[in-house]
This record gives sequence, structure tokens and C-alpha cells, in this order.
Amino acid sequence: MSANLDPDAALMLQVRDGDRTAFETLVEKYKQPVVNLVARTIGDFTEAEDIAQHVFVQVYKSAHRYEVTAKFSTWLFTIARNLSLNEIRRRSRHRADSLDETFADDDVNPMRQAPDLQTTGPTEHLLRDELEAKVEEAIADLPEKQRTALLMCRHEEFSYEEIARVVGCSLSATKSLIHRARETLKERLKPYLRSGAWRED
Amino acid sequence: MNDVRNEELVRLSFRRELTPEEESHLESYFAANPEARAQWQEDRALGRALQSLADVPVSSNFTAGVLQAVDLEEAREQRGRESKARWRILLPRFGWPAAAALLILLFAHNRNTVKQERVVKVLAEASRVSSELKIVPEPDVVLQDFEVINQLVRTSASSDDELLMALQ
Repeated sequence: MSANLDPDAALMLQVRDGDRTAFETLVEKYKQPVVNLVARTIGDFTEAEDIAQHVFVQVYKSAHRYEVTAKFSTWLFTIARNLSLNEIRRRSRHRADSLDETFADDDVNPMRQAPDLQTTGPTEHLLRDELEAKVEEAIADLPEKQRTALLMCRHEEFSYEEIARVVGCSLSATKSLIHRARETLKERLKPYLRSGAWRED
Repeated sequence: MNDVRNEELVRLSFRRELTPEEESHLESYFAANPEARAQWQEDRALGRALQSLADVPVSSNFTAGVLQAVDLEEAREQRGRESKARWRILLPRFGWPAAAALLILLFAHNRNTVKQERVVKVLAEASRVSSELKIVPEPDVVLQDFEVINQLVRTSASSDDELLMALQ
């Protein structure tokens, strides 16, 4: 085993040998990013948790086939993306809720968090809420590959090569996807970005 | 070469805070390219907006739910394995008797089919005969010489001449 083995891959090898505690550790570590990615890929925050649970069950079931060929997170996010795409296909077959529906009503947007009135005043908080909703909306309208690449790009730990593996594109195509996604968002959010709401605090 | 480094630094600044050394490198680049600074500020604001996206709420029993689902999955797989193992034990033990029973059943079924074919043939023959009986003469024609023939039974004629006498 190589000395610079990804620690999560090492845990996964323990899972392959039947170590449930190692599996629990991985679930605890990755549940939030996986739920985030699934929720924003399928555009449904209610169903996201069920699908994310299924992602981890798949990880456990596939443990005996696991080979360290890339970082564990790359493998995990590939499974998460594939299951999310399956869900999107299933929904399109059954003509279920549209992606817009989740974001249509800002009042029920579960992305909103309880206000932190100690650091921001109520007006600033309302403004920030509105801006966040606009960002969510703009992200939801991106094509799926651009959206996934952009969301993964938010995490510093993912290299462009790893993002490319997850979205199944070449490195240059992935960089182009991210660039196009950013340009689309910049265009759409221009008035908000210029308002200074996201300038350094 | 410097352009590549500057682009790389710009890209990095969207994903993480730059080190003071990187900041100063970028600052000197922006001092010479004010329009690049405006562009970068917009990009950076977008980067911050993306970073500030709130986490989707995850229930506190998420991990417990995953472990429970894994247990259920394992139990189901275990049942599948047991079922396969059961067949693997049962087949050699009961395989030959089962095959013999199957052969007997097939043989019996075959015999039954042959019998049925025979019955069908007999019925077809009977039907043909009954249709042929329809060409039998009418009763008055059949009974035309009944009395004469009936007398023949009572005679004890032993030669043709005696028989002729009796008929007259």
C-alpha cells in the first residue's frame, strides 16, 4: 500500500474488509457534501436525503469491488451523480415535479437558515436571503454537467482532474464547463454581485 | 509564463484565500491591468456567493438510517445466499428421484395421449359406419319376402328341388 494513500481510500479498504466503524466514519464525513450535491442536482431537497442514503448503501454494497484507482471522494461523487441522474430520468419518465418547482416559492425554500441577528441586522439578513435564493435559482437553471462541475469546484479539495472524472469529461472540457457556468451566473447575477453583498466582510 | 501564473492565481482566488505572497503577485498584475481587476472583483464576488450557499439540512438520524438500510440489504442478500445453498444441498439429494418421477409422469402422459388418439380413431370409425348405414333400403323393401323366407326356416329341405317345392 502506498505511503501517500488517500486516508478515505484507506478507510474504504477497511470497509471492504468488513469494518463497519470505518464505514460509519465515511458516512459522517461525507453526508453533508453528498446531500448538497444530490439536492442541487435533482432540484429536490426533500428527496435528496433518501437518495443520499441510497448512495452510501451502494458504496457499502460495492465495497468488495473497491480498488484504489482515484480518491475515495471522486468515486463517491460519481456514484452520487449517477444515482441523481437516474432519479432525474425516472422523474422525467413519470412526469413528476419540475426542477423549477423547488425554487419557485422562496417562502418554502429549505436552503434558508435561521437568521444570525448577532452579526447582521434584519435588513441585511433579508437582502442576503434574497441574494442566496437568486444564486440557488441561477444554479438550478444551469445544465446538469455545468452545475455539478461548478458545485464541486466550490470545494477546494477537488482538483479539476477529479471533477473531470466525476462528470465524465476531459480536463479541458471540464474547465470549459466551469468557465461557462461562471459566465452564465455572472451575467444573471450581475446586479447582485455589484451590490457588494458578497464583498469581503 | 507570467500570464499563466496570473490566470492560475485568479482561478485559485475563487476557490480559496490566497497567501500574502500570492496576493502581492496578483496585486502587481492588477496594478498594470486595471480592467482585469474589475473583472476579478466580479468573479470573486461570484466565488463568495457560491461559497456562501447554505448546506441542505440533513436529519440527525441520517447515519443511523444508512446503517439500518445496509443491515436490511445484508439480511436480504443473506437470505438469497441461504436459498442458493439450500438448492445446492437439495439438488444432489433429490435430483435423481425427481428426474425419475418426471420421466414416469412424462411416460404416463404419453400413454394417456396414445389412448386418447385411439378413442378418437374408434369414434371416427363409428361415425363413418353410421353414415354408411343411411344407404340401407327402406323397411317395406326389406320386408317384401319376409313370409316366404320365414317359411324356409321351418322346412327341412335338403336339396334344391325340395327347396323350390317349399317356395311354391
